[in-house]
Amino acid sequence: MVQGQNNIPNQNMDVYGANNGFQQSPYYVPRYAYPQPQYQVQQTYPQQPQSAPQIPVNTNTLNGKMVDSIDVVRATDIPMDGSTHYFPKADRTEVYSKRWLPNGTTETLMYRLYIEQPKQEPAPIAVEEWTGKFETIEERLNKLEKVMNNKTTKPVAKQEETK
Amino acid sequence: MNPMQLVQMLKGGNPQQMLMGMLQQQSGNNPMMKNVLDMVQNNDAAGVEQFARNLAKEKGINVEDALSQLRQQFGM
Repeated sequence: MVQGQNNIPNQNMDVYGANNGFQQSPYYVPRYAYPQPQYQVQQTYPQQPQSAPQIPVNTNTLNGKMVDSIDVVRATDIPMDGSTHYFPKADRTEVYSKRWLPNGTTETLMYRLYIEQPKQEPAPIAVEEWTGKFETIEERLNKLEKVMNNKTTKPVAKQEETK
Repeated sequence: MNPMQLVQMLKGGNPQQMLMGMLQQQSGNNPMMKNVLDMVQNNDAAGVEQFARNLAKEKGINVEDALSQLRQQFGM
């Protein structure tokens, strides 16, 4: 094996052994023979000016503020991006919502407090009252019965007379 | 929009389209801006004027006063 003038170590040249059947060039250096140098590339980029950190838009939050009345809410308080802002009244009786419409006007909605009153159930009727009502019904039924009896008996009597 | 895109648009398209494209890109999902741009594209001058008047009214600006001030500034 011929050793070249370059300072290539012999062990790297003789990877396949001397009897592999072909003459290797003295300048041939198998790529895998050299340990690859481990470069630690430190790329230095020019420092870019850092922009303000982007705050992720949280869709679970409501925009707005507490107000004393609807008159306090001005159009300038609302960004012109079409989003709705909510303004609860300080005494918690009303909530206003305001947003810009595409035609350049604003839309204000008012939500008013509603407390449902408990339903007043009618007082149960006393037993005496019930019995009194039954008595009056019975009396009327008796009267009706008498009247019906009188009406049914008279035509029969007439029929007998004609016979 | 990067400078290369700007140069390409200046070379190829007409400036009006370029400007409209830029504005549309910047407006994003803003419904007001979209409405105005649509009116501009459709040459709806009356619509744009009405929009401006609505806007001024909501912001408490008297349009006539503002116009007269503007005229005075320009010596008209």
